[in-house]
Amino acid sequence: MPVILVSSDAQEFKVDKEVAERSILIKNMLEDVGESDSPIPLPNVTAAVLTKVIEYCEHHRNDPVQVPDETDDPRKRSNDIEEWDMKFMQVDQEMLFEIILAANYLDIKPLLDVGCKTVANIIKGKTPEEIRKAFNIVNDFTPEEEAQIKKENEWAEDR
Amino acid sequence: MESPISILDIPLIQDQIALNLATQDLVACALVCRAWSEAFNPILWNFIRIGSTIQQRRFIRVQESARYRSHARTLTTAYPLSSSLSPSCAVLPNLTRLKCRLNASCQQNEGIVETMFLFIQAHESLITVQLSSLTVDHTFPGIFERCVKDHPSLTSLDLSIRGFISVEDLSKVLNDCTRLERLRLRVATYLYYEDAWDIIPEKLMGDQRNCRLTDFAIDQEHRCVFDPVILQFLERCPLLRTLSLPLSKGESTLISLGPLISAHCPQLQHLQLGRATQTGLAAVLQACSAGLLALTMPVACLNAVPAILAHRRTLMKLDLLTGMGLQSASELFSITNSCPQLKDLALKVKFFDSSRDALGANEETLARLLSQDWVCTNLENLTLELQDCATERPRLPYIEYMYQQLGRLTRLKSLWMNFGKERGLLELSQGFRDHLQSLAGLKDLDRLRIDAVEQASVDELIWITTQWPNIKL
Repeated sequence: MPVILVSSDAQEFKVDKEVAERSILIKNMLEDVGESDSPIPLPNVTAAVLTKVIEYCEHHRNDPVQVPDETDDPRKRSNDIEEWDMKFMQVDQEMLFEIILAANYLDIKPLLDVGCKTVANIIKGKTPEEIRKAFNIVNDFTPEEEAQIKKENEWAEDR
Repeated sequence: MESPISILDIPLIQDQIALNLATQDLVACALVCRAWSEAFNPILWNFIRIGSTIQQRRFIRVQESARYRSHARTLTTAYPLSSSLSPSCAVLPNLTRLKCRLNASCQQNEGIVETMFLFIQAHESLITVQLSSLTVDHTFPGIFERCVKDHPSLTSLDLSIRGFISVEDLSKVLNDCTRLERLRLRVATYLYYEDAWDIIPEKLMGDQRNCRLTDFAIDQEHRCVFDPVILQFLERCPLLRTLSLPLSKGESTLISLGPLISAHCPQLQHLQLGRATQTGLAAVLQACSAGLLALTMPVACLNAVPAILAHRRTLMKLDLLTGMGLQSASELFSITNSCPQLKDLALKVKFFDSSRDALGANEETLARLLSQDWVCTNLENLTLELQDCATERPRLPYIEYMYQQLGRLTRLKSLWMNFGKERGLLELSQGFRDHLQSLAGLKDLDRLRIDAVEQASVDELIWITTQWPNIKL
């Protein structure tokens, strides 16, 4: 049975229940209301973003449920992103952040992971100046503040 | 126009992103702008790792003034860090975890052990401490008593020491661990007696307070001179759930250990033992309370173990990988036929000719065994190391039976079959090829590892990956 999702700008999306339930938020909502064909409002997600999120959920509709591995050292986790996901994430930064926020709100853990990994990959190996450029950030430090932080964090440098 | 979203809008997302970053990247992030500095410095400071003398010097220079030092939770270091102001000053006031493996070069410095322990004493928030390869001398018990005995938060201590220490001194150290919940002690040193003719364990363990220990492991490299002290100590550990005595222990120790456990450690669930004689092991096992859930021990030429295990129906985890291994397939089957709760099982089994098989010699017993189904159908993880010691070929009934039973373990998640790399195992591993089909019912399997003389063929790999699309090989 299909489920109707309504974006913040009042667009309706008809998706399979199985696809919609990739979102733990929607899954719980459906469980709470039981059998009902009333549309589900998603006031935090615009139509443009919801389209992308549904595309992701369609593609991953048959994925097994992830079991978090407690023993995993998060710092050693691989940064591998599946090829399809990588292509899927090739969007402008505004959209990338919108997708991450939506994944967080809708509770779609794998999508949130992929989004965060994508952002991390942008940051990786860059100097502070390069990061500013990549995210369009203005340096608002005074030279003294900057020097102070550099000195305080020098121990973390390997060389 | 609304301001565009940034990574900093949701704290949870920052943490998620930071998890995928290296320390160097966090250093860069902290220098991007004020907002990023506020967001990423606490994450950078959460986990401090000092691996070189340069890092040590840089850290000590700023440690008392750095703004984010209160965010430090974990410190991993190869060099001692102490306040230049006063050893009693906690430079990282919220530190909960210390992991220290002192660099060999700085161990020669006078007072290094004391410096380390003063750091522990000063950091009252520490819960978990791990100290590796600490070279100690006769001053150690005094330092230990001062810094550890009354530490307000310390619960878990992992300590490995070397150097010279007497039985008397080590007993003192043990006596000062009564507030801990978890203690792992490795003594890589030659223990000596100060007065070899006057050892009275009761006297050494003078403090009669009961311990809070729930998890205790002691590993000593040199003989069993310390055993009587350990036994005395165990009498004061009523809360013990996990006990590990991995190195060789004398038979007399093991014989006293059994009754001691049943009298003083009623909650023991996990037991790990080292190399020992059959009588010793049997004595321990028989005396253990019925609540034993996990057992790790080597098997040393003993046929009695399966029979003893048969009475341990509560066992959920059994690891008999070390040692000589079970001497026959029928011993393996007698375990699988008697412990219904098992979830994890790791065994080494030798396949002999049926005529030499301890149980197989009796045709009737063998026939009865092979007509029963395994009861351990809750198994989730199974490791089998199989050795083929047979010279003839009548093993077929065993092998067929085994694969047929494996196919019934429908909850199995991980299967590792090690056929070894030596001679004679070909037939067993080929048995696997022929019987692959019988494993088709194991729907939950996600880890499969087969070490055999021959690599699996392409066809077999295709069959395996079609059968279990998410399998890790």
